[in-house]
Amino acid sequence: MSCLEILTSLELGLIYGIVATGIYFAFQVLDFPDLTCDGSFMVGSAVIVSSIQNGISPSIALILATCASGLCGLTTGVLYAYGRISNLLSGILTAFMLYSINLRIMGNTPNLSLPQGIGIQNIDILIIMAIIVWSMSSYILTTDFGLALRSVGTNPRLANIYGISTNKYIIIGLMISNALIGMGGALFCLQQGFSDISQGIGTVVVGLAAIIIGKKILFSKSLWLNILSCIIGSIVYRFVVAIGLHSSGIGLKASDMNILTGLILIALMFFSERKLLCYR
Amino acid sequence: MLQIKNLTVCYEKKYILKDFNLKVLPGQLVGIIGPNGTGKSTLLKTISGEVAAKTGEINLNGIDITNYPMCKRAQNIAQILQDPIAGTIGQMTIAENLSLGLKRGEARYLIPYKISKRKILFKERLSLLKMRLENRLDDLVSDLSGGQRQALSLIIATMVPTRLLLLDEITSALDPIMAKRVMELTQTLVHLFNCPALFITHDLDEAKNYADSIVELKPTSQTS
Repeated sequence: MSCLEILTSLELGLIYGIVATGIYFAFQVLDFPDLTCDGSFMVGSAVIVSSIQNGISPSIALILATCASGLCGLTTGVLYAYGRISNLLSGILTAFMLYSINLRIMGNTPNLSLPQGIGIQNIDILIIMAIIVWSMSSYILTTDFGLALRSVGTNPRLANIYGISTNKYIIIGLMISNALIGMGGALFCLQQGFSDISQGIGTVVVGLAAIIIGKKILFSKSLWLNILSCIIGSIVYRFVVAIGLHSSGIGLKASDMNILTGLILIALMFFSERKLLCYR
Repeated sequence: MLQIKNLTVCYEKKYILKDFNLKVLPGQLVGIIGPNGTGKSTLLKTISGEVAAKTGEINLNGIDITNYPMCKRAQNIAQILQDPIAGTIGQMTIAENLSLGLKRGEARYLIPYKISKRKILFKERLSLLKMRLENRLDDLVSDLSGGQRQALSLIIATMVPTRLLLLDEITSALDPIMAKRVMELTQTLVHLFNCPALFITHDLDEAKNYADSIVELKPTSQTS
């Protein structure tokens, strides 16, 4: 692996670390299998590229992209909480509708490039963003609000008994989750220099892989370390994929990315199960 | 004071409770007994807002709470569930569970819950149990036994003063010694808060020993 490949893996690891943190909020904290992720990742990418093309500064565009993706979480949350649609279906429906919305945001073209000279020029900005997301997410979860959010995911009946409106907290939690995923999508667009309508496909699987790998490396009772494990897991995942794709002896191509990701996940889950059985 | 007037509750066109009336004075512990399916748990769920009443009125300290949502009723009602696993959150520490109870019915803000002020209060409350849990604040609740979890759930529910205490067969999963300790603590808390309390039990002796009065529910076979 060349230095450039290592740097690219690190950049992608940090970006998807933010995405994995978002997925952690939905899947781990709220226990909500939110499949909006693929759509909201793309919303972040589509909004930032369109905003920048319309003359908005990249930093404001990043905020807009994050907020727009947060609205995707709001939609899924409202469909689930007030529309009485199952959690899986409400996420699938939102992601399905977002395909058309993303095309409209991008002016009905499947891909759009950023103007020349705009994008992530060095890794520092990604490191700072990852640190901000890690510290803010960890802080939120260690407050009274975060405690309520966690109780909704682990024991919704008890949360209601304690006066916590589960519907309200699920909606807020999904908004935070999708906002982070959209931020990841926007940063991905800045890193790649373009937005493509298919960029969001597989986001949820990649995010889950990062969470699972992270838990294997850094399992802890501490919430701060748990969130950090999402980012570390994402970086490790990117390096594993890069090593697989760049090792001439294995003979893998870029198109083999999905099968490689799937196999990594299956292997991790298989060995986790073995470990659990051993404890029994 | 809790006053229930002509309360009727239906599940799929079948009456569970029909024209039920009850008055419980402050500091009074009322035992609810009766065979399975007579609506004991439904009565508690209707008072807490988990189940909607078809008709009737639930009045707490002069305020009609019949149409209040569950999260609003939680400001005034503390409830302990039959299953200690369902009544606590095993994945959280003892301090985190107590922090949840400390904010019962209140808005929850972005304020860190790990503050030393709270620890003093938590240790003070846990010492009432005489189970040495006060030294295990950072332990996961899943590490505790069923009896310890049930006793803890009683402390969590009463972290803040309550105007009504609802207890759904809280001793059914406990050994006799632990059951006695939990019921004695319940009596202490009812007198401390001077609140009305309802407790469901299948044990007539327990009802006679601890209740100020006993209400027996009978099956309602009618359909609506």
